[in-house]
Amino acid sequence: MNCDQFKDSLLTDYVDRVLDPEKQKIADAHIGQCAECRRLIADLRTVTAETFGQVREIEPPAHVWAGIVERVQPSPGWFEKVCAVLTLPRLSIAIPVLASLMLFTFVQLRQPEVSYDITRAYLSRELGGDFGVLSNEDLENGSFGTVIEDFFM
Amino acid sequence: MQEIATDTLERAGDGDLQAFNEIYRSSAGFVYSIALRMARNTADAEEITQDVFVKAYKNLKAYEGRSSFKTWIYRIAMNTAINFCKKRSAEFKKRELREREPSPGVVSNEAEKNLFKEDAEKKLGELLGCLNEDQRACILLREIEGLDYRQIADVLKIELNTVRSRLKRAREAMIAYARQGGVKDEL
Repeated sequence: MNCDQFKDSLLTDYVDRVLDPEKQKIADAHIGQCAECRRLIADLRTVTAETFGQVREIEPPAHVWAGIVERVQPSPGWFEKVCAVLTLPRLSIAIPVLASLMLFTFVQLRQPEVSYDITRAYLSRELGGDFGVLSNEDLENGSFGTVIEDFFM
Repeated sequence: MQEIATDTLERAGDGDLQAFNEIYRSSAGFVYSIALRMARNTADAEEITQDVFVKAYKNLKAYEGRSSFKTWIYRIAMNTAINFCKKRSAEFKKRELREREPSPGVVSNEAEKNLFKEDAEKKLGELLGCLNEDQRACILLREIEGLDYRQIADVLKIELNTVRSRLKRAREAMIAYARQGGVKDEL
């Protein structure tokens, strides 16, 4: 047997020891005589032992499982999505603050105006004199009844 | 990889995440190691591992036990890793042509250098770098997982003689690389 006759099986069946016993014997005899094939086999065994013999199994980092869970879990419906958004830390603070502001503004706008009669009574009591009692004469003259009102209006 | 009970497989197939976690714990090391050695960087290996288990989870119902679970998960892992690496490789070539970047070489970037800090991993990484994805898959299944030719053919769904020819070419490339001094102090 020469190198060409078993070059195809030298780096496969022969090194992996899957040749049938008869062929294995012939190959062993050839390798005993052929320095080139012997060197090829020796080199392959060295490379294989040096590189594959010492490697170990490596565990993935923990976040790989977390990523898998995220991808296989069913996606939430619209209600869950809204709930999730509302429970976000920033929104959970912003929403009550915004609601309070709106409520405050609404209450302010709804405050009843102090009636003219009450103002007039207050000023009369505090300052004395007549404040804004419209007489028929005032109406005829186009006056508002008081000096202040006449000045501003 | 440990054997997985049929009951666990059934529960996981019905969507039980706790049962699926048992499967993950028993096979994640093997899948991640394969992914790491095929992709040769941790970020891609993590992505491949996730893809493998997401595919497994979605297809567990269809797993009928015709092949062993180990062969089934080997097949998903290897096919996912090979396709991922081929896609990455094509993207890299395209970018290289466009930008005229230097070739990635055997150890192409910092991430890979960090990964192969350990001597054994470094040697392995260098050797695997001189093989194409198909040869790398065959040699890993043979040399690290210890699968025989028939099992490799089953996992990769290729002919027995294709396994032989890929192994032969892979070994020739490894010897040539080592003889050129590619792996320090080796030969």
